[in-house]
Amino acid sequence: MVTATIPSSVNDYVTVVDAASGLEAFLCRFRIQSHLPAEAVKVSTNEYVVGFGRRCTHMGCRLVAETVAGASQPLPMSDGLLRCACHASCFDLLASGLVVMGPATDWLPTLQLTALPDPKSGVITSVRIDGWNSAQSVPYGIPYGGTTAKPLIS
Amino acid sequence: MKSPRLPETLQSPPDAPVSATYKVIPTGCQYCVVGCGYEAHLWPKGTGSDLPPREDQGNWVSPAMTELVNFDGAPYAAAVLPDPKCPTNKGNHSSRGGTQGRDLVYQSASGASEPSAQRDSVIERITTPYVRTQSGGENGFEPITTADATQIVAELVKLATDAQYDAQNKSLWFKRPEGLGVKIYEYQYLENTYAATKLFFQLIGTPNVAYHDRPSVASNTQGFNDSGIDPHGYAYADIWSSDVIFLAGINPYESQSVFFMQQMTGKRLIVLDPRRTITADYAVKTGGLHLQPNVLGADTLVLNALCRYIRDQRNGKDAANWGADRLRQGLIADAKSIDLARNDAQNVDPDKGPDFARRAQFHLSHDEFLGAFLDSQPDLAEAARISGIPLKQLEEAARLLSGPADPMPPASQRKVSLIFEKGLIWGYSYHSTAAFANLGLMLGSVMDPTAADPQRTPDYGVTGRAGGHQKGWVEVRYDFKNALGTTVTGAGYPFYRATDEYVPPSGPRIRTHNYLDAHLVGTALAPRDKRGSGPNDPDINLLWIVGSNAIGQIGNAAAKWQAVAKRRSGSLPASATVQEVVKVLGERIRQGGLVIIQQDIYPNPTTTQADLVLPASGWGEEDFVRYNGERRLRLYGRFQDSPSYLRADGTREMRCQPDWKYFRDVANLLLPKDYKGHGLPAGYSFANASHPLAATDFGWKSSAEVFWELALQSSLNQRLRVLEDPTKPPAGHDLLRVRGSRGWQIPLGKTAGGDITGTDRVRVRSDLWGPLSDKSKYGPYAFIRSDWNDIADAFKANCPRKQKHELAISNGRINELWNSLFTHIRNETVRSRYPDDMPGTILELSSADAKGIGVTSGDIVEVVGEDIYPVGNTASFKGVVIVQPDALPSGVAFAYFSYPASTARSPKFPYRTFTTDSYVNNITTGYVDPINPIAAVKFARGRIVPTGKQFPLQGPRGTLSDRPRHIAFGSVRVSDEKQRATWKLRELIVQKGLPRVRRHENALTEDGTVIADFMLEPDTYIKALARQDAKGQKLRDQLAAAVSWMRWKVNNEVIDNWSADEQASAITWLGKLTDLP
Repeated sequence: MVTATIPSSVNDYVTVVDAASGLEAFLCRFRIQSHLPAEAVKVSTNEYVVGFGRRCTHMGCRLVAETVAGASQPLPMSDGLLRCACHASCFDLLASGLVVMGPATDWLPTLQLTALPDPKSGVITSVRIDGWNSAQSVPYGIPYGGTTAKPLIS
Repeated sequence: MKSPRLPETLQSPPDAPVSATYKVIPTGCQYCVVGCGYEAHLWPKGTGSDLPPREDQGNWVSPAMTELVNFDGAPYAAAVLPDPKCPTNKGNHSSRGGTQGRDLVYQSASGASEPSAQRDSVIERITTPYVRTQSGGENGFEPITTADATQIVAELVKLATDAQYDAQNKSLWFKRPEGLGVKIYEYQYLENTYAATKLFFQLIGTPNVAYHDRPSVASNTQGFNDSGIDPHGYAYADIWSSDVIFLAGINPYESQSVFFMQQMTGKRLIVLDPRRTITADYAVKTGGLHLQPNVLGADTLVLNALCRYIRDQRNGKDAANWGADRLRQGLIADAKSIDLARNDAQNVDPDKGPDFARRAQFHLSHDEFLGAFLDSQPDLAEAARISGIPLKQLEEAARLLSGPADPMPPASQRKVSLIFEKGLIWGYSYHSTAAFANLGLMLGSVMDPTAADPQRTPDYGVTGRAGGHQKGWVEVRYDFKNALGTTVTGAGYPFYRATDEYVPPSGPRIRTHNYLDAHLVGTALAPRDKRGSGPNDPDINLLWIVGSNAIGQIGNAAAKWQAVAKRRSGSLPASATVQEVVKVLGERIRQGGLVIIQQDIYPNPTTTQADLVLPASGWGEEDFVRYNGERRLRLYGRFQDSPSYLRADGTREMRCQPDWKYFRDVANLLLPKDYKGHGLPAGYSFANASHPLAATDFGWKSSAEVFWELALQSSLNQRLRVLEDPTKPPAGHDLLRVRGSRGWQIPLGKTAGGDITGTDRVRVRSDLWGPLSDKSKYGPYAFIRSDWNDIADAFKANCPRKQKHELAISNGRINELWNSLFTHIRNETVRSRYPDDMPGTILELSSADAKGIGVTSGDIVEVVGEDIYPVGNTASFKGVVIVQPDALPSGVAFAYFSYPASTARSPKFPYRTFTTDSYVNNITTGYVDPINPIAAVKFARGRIVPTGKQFPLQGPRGTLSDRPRHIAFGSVRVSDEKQRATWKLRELIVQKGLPRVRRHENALTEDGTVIADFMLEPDTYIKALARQDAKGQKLRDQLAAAVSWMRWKVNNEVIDNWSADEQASAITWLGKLTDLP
């Protein structure tokens, strides 16, 4: 299991790697007041973290740039919508990664996360990555039906 | 609801990808016109094999690409994957093609309830013929055998057409062929449509036939065709190499997705569309224009005005900068030839069809068009006033097309291509498409057949249409002589039986294809235009609907289908025996009523009116051939079995069959074996080359045999003959199979060495136009009289009335929903976004209109159309409001076309209670072009009435998104040329997949990683490239190596899948990349 520092601000993200599959993902922090995605983990009042696969489900382009360890960046999104730079597939990060538009076939896969509160303060600054919610979607890079990733270019 | 479940039965472990039992079968996408190449990978179920290896396009197989199938009776795991070897898509795919695994069919032999066999795509397939009876146990239907069903069809055809058998002379004569009406797809493969036309056109001779999407078998683009430009004559590479692309009435990002992604991005786009589509948004953000009218149907006005404006600029003081030399007078039909043709047209035999007379009516010479005609058309300011498009934008569009527009290449060197689609076609069709062709000719964006090499990309660009569906129509060809002694050669559609006419202001009346709706319900509900003529009473008594949802795709539909239901009223058979069914339904026919046969793979709302249902085989279930929007002909190989029928005793029987077999079997039942043939009307005779058909002429045993026959008589536009030898068994299917998804672009040819060749570019064979006395100087192109004044009255009559609080109701298709949604309402991926229980179609409204009406996203409304032109009736449809801020001008709404809402589910056939109250075309205008019967189904006006009810956007059955669909990029705006150079390069990388062509990896060696990064994060990579430090330098060095590699590849061997134009352009742009700061 891997633990990861969560983004420090709302609408920020950090990139992470799921150790089991070796696949890239990104953790987003949102302020959500309605339509709470099932995958969201509460980290503060009205604030939640959701983890998504970092590759577009169309042809695997990376959806967000790499972040420096420990430093979160603003999501390149507007109103919760993230668009792939390659073919403009648009994902709704506030609706579990729903494809709003474009050639992507599948919703963005999500991570199973567990909040890790600080034992003393109770403040949540990190989460544990428990794997993919693969019962419903498959992250780009895992051969379908398999469990571990193949490198995109070997 | 989250994305659909995974087919768990496919979760087998990876490691032995290819084995002797692993099959790779070339096919094509079953959806849009682009026709991306696919491969069906099959491996035995449960053998532990891996997913197919993706050696050259990433390594991910979407869950939506996979399922189980039955193949030759055995269970297989299957994945339908975009083919990187196909020149069209190079491994790319749309959301339609990428979810085709959800459409596959699997039945469990053991009877176990495997999830793969329990999907709607499987259990809703029609697996047996049904007949509607008084007490049918399947929601009124009873299953019958295929033999019985075929017998019933043949008997009903005989009755409806008043078939007369002459036992003494052993011949057959259809006294009343028009009694049989046919509604049939245009796209579902050459073999099926050839067999259909041989039965319906040559044997029976009915003129009452219409394609699935229009009320006749007339061309969708006749006005355009008459210019001499072939609407599909260009090559996709021509679009890719253009500087400017003018897109009218088309949203290619959504409807021709891979065409847009592979060929159009990175260019300067001008989009004419009342809706701010994602294509339009992309255009604006990349330095192009969105011309956004706030009315529907003003296209002819705008296009003519642009021509007039460009003409005036070319005649003005800045003429040198307006590309006057683009319009080559020598390529336009001269006045003398046109005059001769007009004279000849006075005496053309109408049995030959309308083409010659219509062209003579509408052709204009160079001088006529540029002079009196354009003078008579509204100018740009008037066009701006009526259309609502700002005048400055129209002027800017004219500059981009043909004027000074820094930093574009000079107008005399600019490559401008023009593409149109249904927004024009399904409007005031003849005029709109003709006006588009005129603009293409004004810009010289056409092939130059006088050029040294007419097959190279035209210097000035190309003009054409994109297309909606693929091309699967081929007509039987036969020759006959009529009572006047006229010999008609290569006849297909039986104009000698057609009764409808176009009545021009002067000159002889012109016989046209019949307008089917008028013959189905009469002119009270399907009136012809005042310039049209034909019988007023319905004459169709048996309507055979093949692969089409007739209810969902005609204008003013609700009123017409009420009339259909009324004509169908009467007794139903007491039982399903052949004798009883023929007796009761035959009596309905004799009484002047209507019987409907439906032949399809799935039930649809048309099933609510069907008396007899026949189960068909579809995509992947038979070897079939068709071609795409650049005429790429391919075999769509068989890779799965059709679903079988589960009999009461638990055994299974295959009752589905491909459509051509139904046509064959009915023909054989119509023609007794010992009959010599059939007759024509009195005074008519078959010419030597095509004898009257006998039963032996419908003797095909396989689709390969049908192809053999159709190829050997194919027209010059297709030239499929080279694939077959009349003295040898069929070979065409096998030749195409070996060729795979690459296929050949038709028309085909053959080298001296016997190699088959394709044709990159074609134009209409205008050398056959006439005049009859001297064809040598006619064309190759002609301007068309696309007079706005001809249609201005209809335009006004279809405009919304403010005093009645009406909006203009446009309609169209969206990315993930195709055609009549016959697969997509059952596709799990689609259903996760469009819940099953949607009570109506989606109605997009602007924020201002939504606020004014008092509705918000999710509200259920009724849209009421009053005084529907030209009938004057009232009808309505239901919609679920989705507010799309900034996408629509105030006063214009947009509804998803042909969206079949369904209410309740049933375990018995037809599995759903279909409703028809969601169709926007319940209220679309009933205007049909009298020149060439195409319906203006794009236009409606209506008043939006809230019902007070709401549909949950996020419910248990799926998530209906109300997020904006039209935003191409978040905040990116590519405004200056430096950015554009970067942008264009980025598009190049993305479109061509250069770094991911892994078959070249040996040449890439250590640069491979860098190039892969470029593909995956092009923007980041380009940014890093500009860094003035060691990392930036390293990247530049690596890229220079890649450029060298590219040059080496191009210089030393042909790169697979890349045209010469693409190779040259790749070098240019890769070279530019190394020059970036």
